[in-house]
Amino acid sequence: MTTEALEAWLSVATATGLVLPPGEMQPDNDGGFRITTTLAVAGLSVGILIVLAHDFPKDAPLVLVQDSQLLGRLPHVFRNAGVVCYSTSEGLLLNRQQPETVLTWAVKETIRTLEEGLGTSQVAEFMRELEVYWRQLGGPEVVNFYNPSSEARTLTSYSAKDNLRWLAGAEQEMPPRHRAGNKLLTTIKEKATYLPLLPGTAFIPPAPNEPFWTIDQLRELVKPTLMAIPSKRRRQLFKSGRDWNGLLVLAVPLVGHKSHVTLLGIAYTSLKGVHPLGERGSAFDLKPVQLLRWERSYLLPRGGGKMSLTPKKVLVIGCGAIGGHLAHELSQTGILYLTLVDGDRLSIENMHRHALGMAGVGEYKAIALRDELQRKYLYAEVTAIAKPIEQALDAGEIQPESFDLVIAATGEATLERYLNERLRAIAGAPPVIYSWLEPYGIGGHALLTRPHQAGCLECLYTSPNPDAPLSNRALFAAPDQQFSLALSGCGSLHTPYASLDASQTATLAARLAVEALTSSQPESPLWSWKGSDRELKAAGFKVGPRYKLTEETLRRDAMRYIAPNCPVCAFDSNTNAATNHE
Amino acid sequence: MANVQTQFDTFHSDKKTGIRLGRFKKEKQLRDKRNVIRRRLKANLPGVFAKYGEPNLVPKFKDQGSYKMNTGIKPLAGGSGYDIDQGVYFETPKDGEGAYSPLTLKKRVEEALNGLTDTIRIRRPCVTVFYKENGVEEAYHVDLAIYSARGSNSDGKDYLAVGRVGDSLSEQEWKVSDPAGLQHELFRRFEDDTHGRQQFRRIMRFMKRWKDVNFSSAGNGAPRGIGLTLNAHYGFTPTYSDWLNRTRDDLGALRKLVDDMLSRFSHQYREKRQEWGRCLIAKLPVEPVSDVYENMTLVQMTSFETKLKDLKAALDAAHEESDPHEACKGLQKVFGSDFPVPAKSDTARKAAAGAASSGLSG
Amino acid sequence: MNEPEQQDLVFYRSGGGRVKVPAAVLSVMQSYAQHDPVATEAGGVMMGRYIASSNDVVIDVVTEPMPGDRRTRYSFYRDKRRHQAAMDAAWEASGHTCTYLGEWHTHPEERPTPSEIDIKGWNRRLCQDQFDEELFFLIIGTHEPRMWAAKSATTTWEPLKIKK
Ligand SMILES: [Mg+2]
Ligand SMILES: [Zn+2]
Ligand SMILES: [Zn+2]
Repeated sequence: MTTEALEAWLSVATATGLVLPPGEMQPDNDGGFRITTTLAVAGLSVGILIVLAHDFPKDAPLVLVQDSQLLGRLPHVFRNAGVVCYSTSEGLLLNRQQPETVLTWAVKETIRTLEEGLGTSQVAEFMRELEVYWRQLGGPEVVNFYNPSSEARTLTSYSAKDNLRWLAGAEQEMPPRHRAGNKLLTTIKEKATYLPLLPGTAFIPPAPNEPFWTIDQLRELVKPTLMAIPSKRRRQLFKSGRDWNGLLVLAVPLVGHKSHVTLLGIAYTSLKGVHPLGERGSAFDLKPVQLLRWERSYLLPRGGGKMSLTPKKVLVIGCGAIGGHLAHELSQTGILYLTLVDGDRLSIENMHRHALGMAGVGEYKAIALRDELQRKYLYAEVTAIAKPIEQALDAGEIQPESFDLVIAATGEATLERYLNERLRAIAGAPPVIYSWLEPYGIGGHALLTRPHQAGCLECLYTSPNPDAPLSNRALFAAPDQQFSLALSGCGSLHTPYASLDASQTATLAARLAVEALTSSQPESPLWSWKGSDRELKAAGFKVGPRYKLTEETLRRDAMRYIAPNCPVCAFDSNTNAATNHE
Repeated sequence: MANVQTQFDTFHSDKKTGIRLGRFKKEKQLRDKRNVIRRRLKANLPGVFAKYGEPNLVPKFKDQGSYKMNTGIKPLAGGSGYDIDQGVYFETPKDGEGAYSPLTLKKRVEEALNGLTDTIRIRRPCVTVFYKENGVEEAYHVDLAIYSARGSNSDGKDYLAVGRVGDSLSEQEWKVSDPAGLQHELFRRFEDDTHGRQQFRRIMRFMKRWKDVNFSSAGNGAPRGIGLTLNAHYGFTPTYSDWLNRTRDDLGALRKLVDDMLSRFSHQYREKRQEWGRCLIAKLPVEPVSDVYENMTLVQMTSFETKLKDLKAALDAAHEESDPHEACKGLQKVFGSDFPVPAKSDTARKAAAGAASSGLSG
Repeated sequence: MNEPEQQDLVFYRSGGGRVKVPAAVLSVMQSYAQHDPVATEAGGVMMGRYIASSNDVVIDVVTEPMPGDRRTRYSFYRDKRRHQAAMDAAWEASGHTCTYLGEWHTHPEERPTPSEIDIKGWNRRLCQDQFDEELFFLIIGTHEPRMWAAKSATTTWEPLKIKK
């Protein structure tokens, strides 16, 4: 709205008194308007300031409480100038054509918010947004790695250089880079006490413009909680030691949630070196602390109610274009324990289609990818084996049976057929996904195979017609075509495909991996994505019959690849190998 | 399993010996005749209607039947010959004021075509124009199905004129009929399944040829082609030896279909003939939702079932047989002499001559 | 013949194929079965087709004992020349498709097992030639025939199951 239009509109809107109670109206320096007026809130007359920005009604009006008595003491009214958080703007659709409805809505919401704040539900309102109010108190930041539990216990708080402070229960709760083994960190340890408050504990948090809790106020607040702890345990927890400085962590159950808590940090200085909750004295200094929620249970994806993926161990064979993207995708689903195997270094030609880009060029792909993942994902625990898979298997460096899933994306059909046979023969072998992509963007594939279940990679190479030339039956491109281009003499072969094709194939394989790991996929399907055949045809190549099937048919036929005469997986059927007659 | 798909392919599609009736070869001749008939009707009908003091009706034409559905096969020598089905639609109501009796309207059509060929006959479901060729009297024919068009009927349906000369008024019938709807029903499931549709058509042709070879063409002894088509509608499933590449397995598909048909034979009441008996039903999925086999007698039904069992036995034997030569000999017995039998030498992988050696065994 | 009507004999190969011994061919060999306590061993070569586009094998022709062969109760010596001539004839007559598939002989036991001499002979046979395909060895016992298959350059004999 232009200033003129806004002015004209406002004069009409306020003159009629329909939208807003009459008040004082002034243009501001930014091309917007400020309206000073009073609203009737629960029988009180509350002075407010409404700020309409120059691009109102694109932006909702800002409403500020002018009454200092209410400032900062009402939920949703913030100390900075008394801004009323009358509605979350997320997901809110404002009708730009009707500024009056926007303004009316803002005023009504403000009145509702203030009335609720003044009403009996005041404490509950504070409790609901406890974290927000605590944050307004400021104070030093401490990273929390402790996964909140329902038991009071002693934790350790660590301080390293650069004011880096964190909190954890056990060593293994911390991300790899914070653990003691990491020589870069010299740390000072302090005692911290974790105290989950009794459900139903409710209070108004300290106001930012008031003094912080005294020790007596704190003791009063936690009294019911402490009474519920057996005295012996209480003595252990609050035993007097050399607690000159320490940290209290109050876990406040979130209203309406069973397992979610708000964590409030309180730093104490004890003049006598005793625990503030263990002694009667008052020689304590309390300060608010902001706990940063970095703990696993808070950060790791919860996977939409599915079985947790975080404890799963996945072996990724091949860290090329597919493997690179795939490892990232797996990490993003919350899979922490990856083992990457690849004996090759990343060549500059592949820079653009590899997830590592220039950062990995010249490096062993497995190692560079491990470092990248551990840098990106706090909790990732990645093992890199920079040698060919056969060597790693022969040397016993990899025990396939110790993984929940193996994914092979080597781009080498012969190697993968060998792996298929070798892995299936291992007792207790996990499911294996094979994933590969085709040139010129016509598609990619992912095959899930399970030991002792019909359907394996060799099925794709098993034609019902034994005279047919050997080829992968799943391919969209017609068989017997040579796609590799020699870019620079006979040195490096280059199969024409783009990074998007690799990442789409990786996504397909990752989805299949998640289904396999969460047991939502009990079968051994072949999944394929189908792209355009334009480039392939333009390059003078042909598509095969499978490409002509619709995506729906491909999905429906996911199990139709199984070859009853597969030499690897077709165990006993009457057409199969005769056993000894005697 | 002997791989006899090559032989099924030849049987179906070979230019000389294949049973498929292409839309472009023999049918060119039929299409030309059809066009002549269309022109003749348009030219002569006004005169015929005028002669009887009736308002002129302008016919509309639609292809129908196996030609339209592309499931036609070449006729056997000495059989009823090639045919093409043509729908002729008139904007005239089936009942009420000014309605024609089915037979009268067919007679007008017959009269308009008078002299076109030596033989034009009114048969119960159609008016048939026969053509001579190479001295064979009824070498091929065009069947004209005469309709009272939906636009003239209050229920918005097309009605087929049923009745022949000599039928009393009560024996004549305007019968609701929806060939386009039927075709839609039959092929709907194959909308995005080219391979399935092609195999369905091949299997239809194999079944029709089996019928021509194994039943005499006279009367209702043979199950009607449309009946077999309906049985396939309910019993056919696409079958491939390699699903990924849709490598067809017509023998497998036939076995499934015949098994399905045999499993549907049961003792039931036959509405039209008002009798109980063991029979197979071929129900139209569109109006009039009647049983296409309703005119077959129970004796004919028994023979139908027996012959289907023979077909099943031959198909199963071919499936079991290792030697394609033997397998095809068996298939030739049920599908007739057009089914090719490969020479033994054509069934072997080329191999080197062996060398015998002297040897002791104990 | 007083024998009951013979049926085709079919064995399963590993990998999904079958070996068919047609009734007519089987009855030729069965006629030498050593039911008679003084009957001597008999044998010959088996010829036929590796069926294209399948893993099936059909035995079309077998040679029978010929002059020059030496037959005893417990051994059979096959003379190369005449059997070779019979094979060559079959090969020519078939348009070069009826090929050597293996050998057969009889045993005076109900359920035959290859003797040491058999195995030595077969293994020698497998070493001599480089066949792409498997070879088959059939022994006609007095109760049942049994077949073994092996690939050239190997000495692993796989007994084949009879299809009922
Ligand atoms: Mg007709
Ligand atoms: Zn397999
Ligand atoms: Zn022996």
